[in-house]
Amino acid sequence: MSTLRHEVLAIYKDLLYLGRRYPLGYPYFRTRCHAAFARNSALTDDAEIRRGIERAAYVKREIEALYSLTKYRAMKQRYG
Amino acid sequence: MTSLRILVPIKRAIDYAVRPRVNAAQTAVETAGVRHSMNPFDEISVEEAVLLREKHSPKTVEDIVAVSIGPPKTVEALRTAMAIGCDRSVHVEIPEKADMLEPLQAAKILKQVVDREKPNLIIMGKQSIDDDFSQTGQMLAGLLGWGQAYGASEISVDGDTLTVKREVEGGTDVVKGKLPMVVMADLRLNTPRFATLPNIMKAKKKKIDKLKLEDFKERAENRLKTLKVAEPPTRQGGGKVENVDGLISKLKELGAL
Repeated sequence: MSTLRHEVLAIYKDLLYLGRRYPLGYPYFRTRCHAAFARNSALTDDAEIRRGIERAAYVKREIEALYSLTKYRAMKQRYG
Repeated sequence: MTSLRILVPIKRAIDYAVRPRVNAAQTAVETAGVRHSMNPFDEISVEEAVLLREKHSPKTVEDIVAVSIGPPKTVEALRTAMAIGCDRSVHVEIPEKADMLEPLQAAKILKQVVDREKPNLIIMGKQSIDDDFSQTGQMLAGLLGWGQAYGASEISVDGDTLTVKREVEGGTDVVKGKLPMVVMADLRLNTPRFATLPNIMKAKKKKIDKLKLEDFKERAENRLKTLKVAEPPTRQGGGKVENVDGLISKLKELGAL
């Protein structure tokens, strides 16, 4: 139980850190991210919590991809 | 099998997403209170150094050192580099308000860092996105008398030879060279990984050697004087015409007919 709790907290922190440079602004990201975690706060089943963590990890990968793609596109436009 | 000792010179520049503004005195771009990050091309070169370590046996790449010349806040960029995977770093500190160093100055200082750290491969970004000189790498290679490969899009190491694919106009150029070498990374060399929060925290434990500008004997002076920095003129909006007659009269008015 407690290890899962730490996993959830860790991924939440990671997401918040990533959200600092979100294109629509940090407040936009933070409220939505917080709401998404709050929605699932009542989960008690281990398997379900794990699914939630996986989903968060997926979102994290997507955001990282979004950032590197925007950066790549900006650089490509400027320097070819 | 020679082991690689990689030096990665990096620069902290204004973030790519920030729209640069000219300062009130029209002498430079405003840097105070503007978000900075590591120069994107340098991120690519850091990533490449780490990839070389991951691709080959751990013994092949002995040491990856990041080096940066800049004001005190440059430490952040060095931390990011170490979070991606550099082992340690060297920070050559210049005062906060000092002018940016020109390529020859930077190259001369980097040469002395090379004498100190004794790397046999230097991977650096081809240019920084703030002043866009794109000269430091070439000058450094020239000062050291090493081989160089500009605009690398693929690097492979075999013993002490290095094969680099370069992006040139209308195709690729393959160069082969013996270590030591200077390689300047282009945009398509790799996709840099993200420096995660835990890794940045871990990077705080890695060592940063502090050096002062005065520690370097060989120096060059800045030779360029900035006369004026101005924004490009704003684009004048177009006008709409009602019909064909309106278009013809407009064209006549502008002298196109």
